[in-house]
Amino acid sequence: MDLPHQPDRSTLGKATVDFEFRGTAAEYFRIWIVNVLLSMMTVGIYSAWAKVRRKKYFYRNTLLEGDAFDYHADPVKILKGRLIAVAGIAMYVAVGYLVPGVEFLVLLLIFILSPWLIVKARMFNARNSSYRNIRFTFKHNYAGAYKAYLGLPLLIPFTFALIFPFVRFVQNEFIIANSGFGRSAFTFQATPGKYYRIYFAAAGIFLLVWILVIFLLTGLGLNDNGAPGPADEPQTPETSLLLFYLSLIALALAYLVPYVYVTTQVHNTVFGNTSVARHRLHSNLRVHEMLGIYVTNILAIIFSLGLAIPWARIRTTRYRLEHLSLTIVGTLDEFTAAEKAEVSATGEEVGDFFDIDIGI
Amino acid sequence: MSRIQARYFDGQTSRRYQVEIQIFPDRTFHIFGMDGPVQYLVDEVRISTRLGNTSRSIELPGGSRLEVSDNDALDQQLETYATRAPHWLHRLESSWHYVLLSVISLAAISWGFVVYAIPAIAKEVAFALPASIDESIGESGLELLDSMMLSPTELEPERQERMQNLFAAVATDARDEHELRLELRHGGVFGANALALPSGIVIVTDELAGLAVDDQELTAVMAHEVGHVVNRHSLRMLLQNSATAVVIVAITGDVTSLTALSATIPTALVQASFSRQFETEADIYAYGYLDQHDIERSHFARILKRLEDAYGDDGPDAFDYLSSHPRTEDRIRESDSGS
Repeated sequence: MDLPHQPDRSTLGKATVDFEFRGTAAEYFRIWIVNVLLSMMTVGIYSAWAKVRRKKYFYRNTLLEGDAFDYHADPVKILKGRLIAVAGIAMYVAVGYLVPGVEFLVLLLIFILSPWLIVKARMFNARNSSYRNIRFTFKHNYAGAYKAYLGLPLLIPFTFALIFPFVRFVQNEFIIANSGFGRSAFTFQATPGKYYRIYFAAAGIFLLVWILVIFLLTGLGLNDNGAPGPADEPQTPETSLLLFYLSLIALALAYLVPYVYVTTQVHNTVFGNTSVARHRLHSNLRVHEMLGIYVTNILAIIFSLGLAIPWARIRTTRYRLEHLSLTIVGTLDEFTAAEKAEVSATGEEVGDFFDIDIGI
Repeated sequence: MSRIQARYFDGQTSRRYQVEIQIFPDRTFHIFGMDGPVQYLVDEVRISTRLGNTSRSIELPGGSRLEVSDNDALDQQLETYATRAPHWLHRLESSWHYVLLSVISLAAISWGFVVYAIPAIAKEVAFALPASIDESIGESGLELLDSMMLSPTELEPERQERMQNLFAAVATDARDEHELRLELRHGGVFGANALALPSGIVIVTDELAGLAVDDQELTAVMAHEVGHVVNRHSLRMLLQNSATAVVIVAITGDVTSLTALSATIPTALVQASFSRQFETEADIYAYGYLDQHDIERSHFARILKRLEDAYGDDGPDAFDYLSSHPRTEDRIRESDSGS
């Protein structure tokens, strides 16, 4: 068997290759609209098939060294998981209606089960993802999950949230260090210090934006404490309405800017410190570019009454993947497959439904 | 027909082998470029359906797999020699005609569902639930309003009693499960206003009482507010809004991302239209009461007109869809038509 088109690399030569994303908004729009329509016409049953089709589209359009990723989940399993989740919600509502005051016990149960659900969800997703016909893996490390998602978060109120960046670090480390590709485990090299720097910087940005907002608004005439300023003149209803909307926008920005800063920097930190075998990932998203993408996405979705959702998803994914690269030492030919085992979708879909965000 | 470029992965290692494949008229599937000739029946291999223009996989018996990028060439050979037509989903997705049709039907279905089905279902559900539910929704409403913007009434005791009597007449007529009660307050920043809490409490401000020139006008306003209570508007609004949010979430899929969440913002428009429908319904209730008691409908129109003159209309015509109340002009016209 011959191997043409393979980059010529000596056994330990290093090369950095970019990820490539080939999805287009025009193509995905058509897939999305058909998904939405069929989901509606089947009262949501098709949504399980829609999810698989959507994930397949994004995975298959993600390429590394010319080969695509793929997603293999069985929609029937996802449907079963969703039915279990819906039954759970129905039970929660019924319990609340029949025995008022007991709902919190159900919530407590969900809270206690959530780390288990996270592990199940990760396992399902990893085993149904592949590259070059080798599946990804996730270790069933329940002890680690309970520490990262239940034990440590419980300490947040007692430490005035100072432990929060550390918790995020432990959670990200848990996800990466338990993931693998074939028989090769992922390793995570980030340090908690990096997370503290990100969150302190975000707090600084938050304060700065607030000061700027207050400064601008008082300058524009929101000054009502008698200090000299344009506010001494009586305001017309039009200007006060304008000020109201301006302050709403400013308020939204005051939260959005630090939010985007944190997600972008954490993303860079996680992907910039992940290795598999000898190969290392790099991510260099720019905060101002991500902010631009978020703001234009939100505006486009609002003014298109939701029709811009596919376009927004495609361009966000393209930006993320085009700023992701892998430094390959030697070749990517030496991974071997792990033994197979099936995982039910219950964890994943129940997790999806109760909105457990793993934060990567 | 010629050979198609493909990449072969054995499923044991991540190595890629460049090979060629071809389907022959005898429904056999051949792989060239492996150590020896490899051949299967077309029905033995699993060829994934087309999805956009992404590479397709061909799963071979034993766990190995091929990936093919030249979708058109593969489809052509499949159609000619294996009589397999392209999947119906791909046909739907690749035609802009179907897509346009989908957009239109989607818009029609969502519109119909949100504007007609949800309000109708919410109405049925609301009327099936006991009045005690309404009390639990608006339990602390009055205390909250009192602590935030309202202050005790400054009306003369005789005036207060007169208004209570007017209200008692409207309330007795309603024959409703709710415990209807009138609370008088000084409006302050709230101005001339009246509102109904779900539990059956109707609040009328001193400023509104001052704006009314006769009892009939106050009766009309009170009947309007009682109309909100009797028609279970708070509960229905709550049911409709949560149902609409669920529908939007179901359509757009993931809610986890911030961007997807912004898709729910247009629901604000829908909610405003719900509340305009409720105002109209309460108006109809008020007219019903006025007609029954031989009070001219124009009394209601007159106090609305005076309110508009004192506070201005909801805004220019362009904002009609955004406003939560029907335009006063329309409401006055409505009152003329029935009398």
